[in-house]
Amino acid sequence: MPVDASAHLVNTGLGPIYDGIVHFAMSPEAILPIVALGIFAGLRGLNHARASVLILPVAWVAFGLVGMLFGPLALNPAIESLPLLILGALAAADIRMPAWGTGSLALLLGAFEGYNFGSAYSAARDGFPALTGSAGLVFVLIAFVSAAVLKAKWDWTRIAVRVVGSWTAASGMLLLGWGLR
Amino acid sequence: MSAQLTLPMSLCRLLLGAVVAAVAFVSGAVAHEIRPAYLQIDEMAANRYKVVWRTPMLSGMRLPIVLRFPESVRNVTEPAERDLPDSLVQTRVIETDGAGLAGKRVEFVGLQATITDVLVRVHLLDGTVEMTMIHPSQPWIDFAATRSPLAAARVYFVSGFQHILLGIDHLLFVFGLLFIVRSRWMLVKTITAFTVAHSITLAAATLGKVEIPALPLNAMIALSTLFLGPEIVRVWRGQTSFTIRHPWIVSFAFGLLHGFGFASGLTALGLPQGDIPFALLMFNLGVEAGQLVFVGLIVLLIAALKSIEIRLPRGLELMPAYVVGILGAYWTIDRIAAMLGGAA
Repeated sequence: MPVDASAHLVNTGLGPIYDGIVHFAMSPEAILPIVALGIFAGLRGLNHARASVLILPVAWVAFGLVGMLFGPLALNPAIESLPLLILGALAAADIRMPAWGTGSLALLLGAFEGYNFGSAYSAARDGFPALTGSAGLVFVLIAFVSAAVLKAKWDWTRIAVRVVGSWTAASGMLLLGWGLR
Repeated sequence: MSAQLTLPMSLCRLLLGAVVAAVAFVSGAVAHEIRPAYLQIDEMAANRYKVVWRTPMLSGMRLPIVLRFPESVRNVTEPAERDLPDSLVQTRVIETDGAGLAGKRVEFVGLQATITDVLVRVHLLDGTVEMTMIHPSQPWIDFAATRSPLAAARVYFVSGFQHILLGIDHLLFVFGLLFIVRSRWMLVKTITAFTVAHSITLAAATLGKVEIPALPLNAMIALSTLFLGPEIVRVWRGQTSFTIRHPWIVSFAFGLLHGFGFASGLTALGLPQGDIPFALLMFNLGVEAGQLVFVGLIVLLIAALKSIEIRLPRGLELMPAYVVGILGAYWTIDRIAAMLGGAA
């Protein structure tokens, strides 16, 4: 008799805020660089983690609003792979950098991904609540990841999270290859 | 260890203003129709079925969803329509060819343009009852092989889980409680009291022992959220009150109200009396699971922010109180207006 219908994607029936949350949760290409940034910031220390947690969601909303205003850009997938590649490589290599450098990375990532996200709602009525919902989840994700890595005291946990960074970079490499083919 | 980060006061005021503005904006945005439509198919005889199709009404308008059966299905009786205060109910008897409904597809034309789900319940002559939820992303149902009772249990569980996570007024009440309790033990007591209380009234209302009209109930649930806003401010000021000293008692008392709200969520699915004890159990378990996930996420987030040592200025610490208070006030006014409008 009845079989299950598939899960929702963007339209959840939960209102536009929930739509934004679910839209973001279903976008691995946006989640992975944020995880990589969280890992990198957590590995570098407290000031780096703070800078990321405070700057990323604000940049996401600000540039999301700009994206809603100007609409989508026709970007080559190769360019979309850059956040994955750069942040994954930084996390894997655990490169030393001042806290303002990590903050700048958070700003650039928030600008790029926030613009992309906001531009998807340029023709929608409920773009701002969706952007707010997604920014809330971005805040929760970057806070969870950076705090968890910051708390990692054992060497093996630091190695494990750097491996996650290397996988992220590898995913970026694959996307780059696909974009340039 | 690095010094804790404190944001400048001007930025603080700006952020607080932005939060208040966003909350005011969002309060309107979340008032969306989330009641599901309902399709009930009862097998009356071989290849003959009674069909009940209910679509919710929003602001006096019927949702534009049309039920489409395959061509091999014909109407034995013409659809009879009945207007209810919150929905439109259409009843008819249909007949199929030799294979019955097995292997056939029923479509919900127009569902993909809405934010409404459809709950489908099929009751066969052999006593089998099947439940499934149809979403706008796949607006049809394929009648296939029979499913186990576990599959039906899953539908009720997921409905309960979704109900609490959709029910932002319930979540906001729990959110407010988290800022009033002062210790882990009190948090456990308070959340347990809320759970016990809403389980009692959920059971009583679903089994038909107690009934509360929806409009005053919704207004009281909104009022319970509004009530917590000033209490969070009292905690912030270092003052005390009955609620701050005994949050579990307040949580229990208001939990009784919220349980009636959950019951409306379950009975809105249009469940017949025979299914209710089983549905009640699974629905309640779903509600508890959703509530625990939400509380766990908030507690983890607070712990994460403490690890990063982001210390908000005292003014900005009032943000949860503003969010809870503004939304609670908005819903209270909105629901009392709806109640008075309905009475007029």
